[in-house]
Amino acid sequence: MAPQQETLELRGDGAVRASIQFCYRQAGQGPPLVWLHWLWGEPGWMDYHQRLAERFQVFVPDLPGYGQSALPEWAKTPHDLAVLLLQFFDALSLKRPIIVGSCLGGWVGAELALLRPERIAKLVLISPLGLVQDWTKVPNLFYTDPARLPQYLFADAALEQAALYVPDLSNWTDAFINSRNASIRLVFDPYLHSRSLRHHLHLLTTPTLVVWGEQDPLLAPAHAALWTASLPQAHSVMIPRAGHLPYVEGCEAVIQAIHTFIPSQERGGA
Amino acid sequence: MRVFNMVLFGWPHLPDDAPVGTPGSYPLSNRYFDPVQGNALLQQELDRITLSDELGLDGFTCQEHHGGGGFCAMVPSTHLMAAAVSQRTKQLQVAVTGTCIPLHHPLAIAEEVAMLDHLSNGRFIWGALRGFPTEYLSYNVNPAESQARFREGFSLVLKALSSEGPFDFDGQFYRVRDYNIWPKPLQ
Repeated sequence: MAPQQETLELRGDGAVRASIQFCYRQAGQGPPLVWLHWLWGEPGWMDYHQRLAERFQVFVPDLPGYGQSALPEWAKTPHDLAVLLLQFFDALSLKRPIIVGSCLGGWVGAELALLRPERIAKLVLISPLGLVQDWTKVPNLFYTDPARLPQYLFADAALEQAALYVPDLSNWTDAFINSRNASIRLVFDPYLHSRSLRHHLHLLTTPTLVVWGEQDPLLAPAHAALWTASLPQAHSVMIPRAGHLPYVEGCEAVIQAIHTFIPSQERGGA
Repeated sequence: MRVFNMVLFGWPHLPDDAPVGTPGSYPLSNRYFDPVQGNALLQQELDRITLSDELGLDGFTCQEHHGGGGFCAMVPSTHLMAAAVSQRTKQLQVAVTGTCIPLHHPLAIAEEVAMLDHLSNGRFIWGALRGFPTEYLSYNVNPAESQARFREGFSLVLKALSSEGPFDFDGQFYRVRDYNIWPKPLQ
């Protein structure tokens, strides 16, 4: 099943609502589920999207600033991305989707649920950014030899698929550079976290599953407990032998955790 | 033709095994810096600049680098250097090439530029630049905003130096209400 690839032109009102272009992939039948990608965008329609599409209607948008989706000049934070995503939800009549967010996408998902809890059925946060124990000890993804990036992201630094997510310097496309620039703009300082998010999270009452790779070299799995301790309705699942993008190294375990969290009889409010 | 003496103030006392120019070698640990040797170097350079003034060179200039930059430079503040040179020299032009605008508040830059113009009796030339990527890392200034901060900061410096004030400025990064610098520049 090949996903549909769409571009959505959202016409703003010239004042309050932004004019913005969203590119997204879509496939599957079932309750709507929006997948929010990690820091440097999705390399394409991947096996974990396909597995989710067996039970959900899966939408994978390029977040504003990534791929072909533009980032308005005023937007500088994951919170701003959440505001823009609500326009995307409205345009697709997504009334109450499930949100699965990885890394940056997890942070955006948490911001969405804080902003419009009635618009989110359930929240899955996969090693989300936003809370960081000691940012000075977290590898700096933007100021490092790109050849080192796989070892900062994957349990197995020699993983073949790593090149899809962090291409070798000679394979940096314009699209990849755009995505990287968007990330620098969004999370450079404070590095990968927000000073206020921790104090907002007690208001996030959406049922939440926190998923973490047991060997995440970027954000240690102890961060999962920061989230579950802050969120009123959350529990965490650890994915063995997996790093910061656990669905790459532990696809089936992540899919299984999501299925357990969202039983098949449960319908989202599409 | 005019001849300027551009002083880099590179650190000449590095041991051969110092990890310079390798990935992850920035910043070089300042245990390689010897304060007594550094002081002597700075004073020696100031003497040379004084001599270049007496010999009739047209100008002096230096560059801003932080954490030593790539070559262990000793001038994180060109403005301080220019102030010192302005007091030791009589005729040469005192330039900075230049100030890393996005790493400082543009109003502070404008105020110091105006002061330097007076300290040098109108011999000051101001130059501006964006700096090395590593300097954004050290100062935690978002490198994605470097160009935009440079353009906006440069406009604000020019406005502060040239406006009959008080003036207002409404930028993306810098906002000023009802202010003007004091002193105004001499030139």
